[in-house]
Amino acid sequence: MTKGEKVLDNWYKDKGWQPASFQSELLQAFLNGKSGLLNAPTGTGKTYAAFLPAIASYINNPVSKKGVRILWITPLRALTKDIQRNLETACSELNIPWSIGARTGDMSSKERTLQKSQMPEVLLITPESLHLLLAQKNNVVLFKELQLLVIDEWHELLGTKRGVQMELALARLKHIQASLQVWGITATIGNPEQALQVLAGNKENQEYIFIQSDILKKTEVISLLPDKVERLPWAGHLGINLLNKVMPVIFESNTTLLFTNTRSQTEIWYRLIMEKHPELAGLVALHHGSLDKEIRNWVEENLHKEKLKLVICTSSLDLGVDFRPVDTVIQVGSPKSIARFMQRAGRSGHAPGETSKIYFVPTHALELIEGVSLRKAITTNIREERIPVMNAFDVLAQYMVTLAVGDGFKEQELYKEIKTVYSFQHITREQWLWLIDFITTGGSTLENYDEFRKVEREDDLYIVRDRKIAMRHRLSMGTIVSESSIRIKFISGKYIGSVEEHFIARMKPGDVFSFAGMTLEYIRIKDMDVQVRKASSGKGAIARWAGGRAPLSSQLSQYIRERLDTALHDNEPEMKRIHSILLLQKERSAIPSSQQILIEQCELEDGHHLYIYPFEGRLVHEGMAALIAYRISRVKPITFSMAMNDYGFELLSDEPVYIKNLLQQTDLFTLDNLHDDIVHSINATEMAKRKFREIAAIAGLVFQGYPGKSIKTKHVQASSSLLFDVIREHEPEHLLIQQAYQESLDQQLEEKRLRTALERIATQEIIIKYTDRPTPFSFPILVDRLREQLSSEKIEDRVRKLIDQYR
Amino acid sequence: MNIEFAGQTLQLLPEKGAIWKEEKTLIISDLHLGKIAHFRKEGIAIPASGLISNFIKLDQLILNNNIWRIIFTGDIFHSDWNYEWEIFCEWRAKYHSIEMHIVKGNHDCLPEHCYHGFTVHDELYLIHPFTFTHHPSDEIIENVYTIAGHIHPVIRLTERRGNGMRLPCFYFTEQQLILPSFGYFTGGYAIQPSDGDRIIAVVNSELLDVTSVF
Repeated sequence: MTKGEKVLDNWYKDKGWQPASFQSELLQAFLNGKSGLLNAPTGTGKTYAAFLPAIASYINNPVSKKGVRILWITPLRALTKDIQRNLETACSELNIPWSIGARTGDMSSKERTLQKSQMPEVLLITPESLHLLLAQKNNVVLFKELQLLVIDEWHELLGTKRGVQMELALARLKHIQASLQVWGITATIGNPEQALQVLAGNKENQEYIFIQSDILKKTEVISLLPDKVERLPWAGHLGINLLNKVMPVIFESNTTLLFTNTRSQTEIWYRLIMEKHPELAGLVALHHGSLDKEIRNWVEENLHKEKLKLVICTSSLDLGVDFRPVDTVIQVGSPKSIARFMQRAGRSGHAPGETSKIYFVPTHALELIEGVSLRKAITTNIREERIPVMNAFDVLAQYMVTLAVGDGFKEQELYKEIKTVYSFQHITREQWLWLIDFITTGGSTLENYDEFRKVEREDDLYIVRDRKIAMRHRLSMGTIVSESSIRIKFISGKYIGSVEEHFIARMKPGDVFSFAGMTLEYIRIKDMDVQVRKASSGKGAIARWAGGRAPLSSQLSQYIRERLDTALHDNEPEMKRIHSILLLQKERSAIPSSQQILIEQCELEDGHHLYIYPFEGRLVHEGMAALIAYRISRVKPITFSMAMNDYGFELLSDEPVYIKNLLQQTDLFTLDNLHDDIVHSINATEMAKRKFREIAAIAGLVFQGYPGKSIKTKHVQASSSLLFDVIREHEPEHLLIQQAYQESLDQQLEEKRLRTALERIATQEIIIKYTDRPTPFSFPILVDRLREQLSSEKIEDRVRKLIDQYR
Repeated sequence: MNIEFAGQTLQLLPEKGAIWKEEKTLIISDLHLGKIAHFRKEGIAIPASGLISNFIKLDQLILNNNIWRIIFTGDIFHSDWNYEWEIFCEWRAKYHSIEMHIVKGNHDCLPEHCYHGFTVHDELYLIHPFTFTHHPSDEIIENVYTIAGHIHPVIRLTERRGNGMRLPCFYFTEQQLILPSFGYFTGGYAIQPSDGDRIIAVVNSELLDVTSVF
């Protein structure tokens, strides 16, 4: 045992702790110079597992040189305080003379300059701030004592462009400091090997190992069951109607977090609870991503101080510091992913050994199947995968300019480095040179004239000399692109939050709407802000935000398909409660087993309905609906309108489609020509154009400005869709345009998942049923179609009538 | 598509301009020349070949319609001087027999001598029964119809399912026509028509009266 290990050993003993096996394992690996990935649940000592080995190593080889020894990456600024406190405690108890500093975008430039002259030994930082360091002159000096890089919550970054940003910085730091040890910390994910591989990069002779804790977090899942269910379920008829079941849970708990899936839902729940329980005024708060940061901070502080009974929130509170007073979590509507459900459950019962408790509130009866599936799934290690983003040329273009703003780069050298980055392992020389061109000459040029200025070439050094360009780049760095939304302010100028532009476009002065838990009156639009005042009375529309709901994950959807095998003789309470619905489904049509795919046909007043149920999630169904419609229309010219939910999709036509005959003539589900058929069946250009918004901002084609900084940008602002049109017309091979098409296929259509689903369908038995009325499976899809056509006030009445009609 | 006013005919063009038939006058608003070059100068890589499009479109309109006079109703140039103005002056010299008028807009801030070869009007240019201005005006002058630009009107149409489209449009109110922006690389502002307004949308190479949609 080395001296360092002994010191740690004594420290554990003094505290009366027994180091967990993964902690000892990581210590050994670290002292042997290894890097790797640690999988451990929160609240089990993962921070110390990654930090203490560096202390042991320091005790073994004390070096007195000043400088950053450990970089600790966190995805959220809010997390830094907690970690900083933990690390400081360990250092002071173990007599390690290190200072622990944080560097975030919130710091003043004075603080930052001071920090630069005296860097702390341990620096907590976000990926964005790390890139800002790389944009500084002479930044290599900052990292010359660097020994360890920890990436906390690696699963949160992996699968996003921030992850790619992290990969690029990682390659840079490994280049500066060849002996750098890297440790990622992740929650349980479906692809840990790949997560490890991304850290290791595409470089040979590196030893990266995976360490997994054997601690299983206990989680209790309780579905709140409706007293009675309607035989024809539809989305939205439960949820708030279960308020009388939800409130007792809240009253019995100390502090509750109530998660909904959309921001609009939080507003609806808040309004409802305030109406029914005015005595809770002041004890209930709202938290979602469109609210002003000040409001969110206030909510978080008061959660800490135990001043709130209930916070209604969205994914904005999925991650973040532990709110110790929280002992109960309620999830309204299916979270659609096992990992997300676990993460939310974990917001309660945080301390080691405690049990997390989560209540599931279905928004329609069939969602109860998801409730059981979630409860079963979390006892296994099956989780969703986080697929790393590949070939994110927008992020790379930004990074190249970042380095050019810093000390500049040499083309050949950087190319070699980039090839070691997981995301860019397949980049071609041609693509690379295109990017070099993009940042130096601006791509296609006019002979005789041109004044393009960005990165300059001096011999073999690529560098930014223009201070204005450097400043604008620093201000626009990052990969998180804000939604196109419009700001809401009081007349006094106080900012409250933002909503979708489209929502406001429909408002007239005097209209009233609910936002941030307040009833607001629309006054006017001024300087691109919406001015409002508090309305004295009235109940207005609920604010709307762009951005769809997350689709059902493939891991969870598999559980649901398997659950249907035993649907009618299942003893789980959720399944018993919806027994009558399932029975009706069987009577009118069939309940498909996991070896079957169900197709229903039904003629109603409004036309011929064709329903197919792959149970693969909304996005896959959207793509598959378009694909099947396209393939049918090739056999027989016909127009469809489409609707879908997470379980299936509908094709509605004026003329009948004889699906049985059609399937004999042609394989509608074939994998042949899949890619071409997809591209033909959807409006690929429109979809790519929407994706291009983010890409253009990341690659520096659109300058978004910067919150709080008034910089004249008016003359260089253009909408990304305009840019898309111009570039596509003049340079169709443009790498960023190509990327937009690829991303829309990968993310919007989930092309890979669509392919897998078709592969599965190819092995399944097709069951075709003709029904004279909608079935419990088809009814919710039918209602979703109505919802698109009707305003929300009318929908209730309309659905009641339909239920009577199809009873 | 032709529109009559006080015995005069305005032909609306899918190229996003208009022709006053009797006077063989081409009316162009918000060309925003120099924008692409300006963006490039600021390090934003818009393909430079794009800026040629404006001139090709203008050439075709002049040749196909036997034009005598062109009135630019403002924002002809986007920013500070850059080489696109030089290209534009060369282009102007090709058509020395055509009168060219510029009604200045908020973006037109080039030094005076740059406008050599053009007749420049500061606020408005009146030829009965039309008055040409850059900014739309609230003032109603009897028997005079205003033709303006500035706001780059687009109309938002929403499909039954999915996303809306934004189409550039000619926006008619009782006393005024607001032209869409002619420029190749210009955006638009979504208008919200009131009762009695008329909207002609530009859909690729066609014009469509969409007034009834609202």
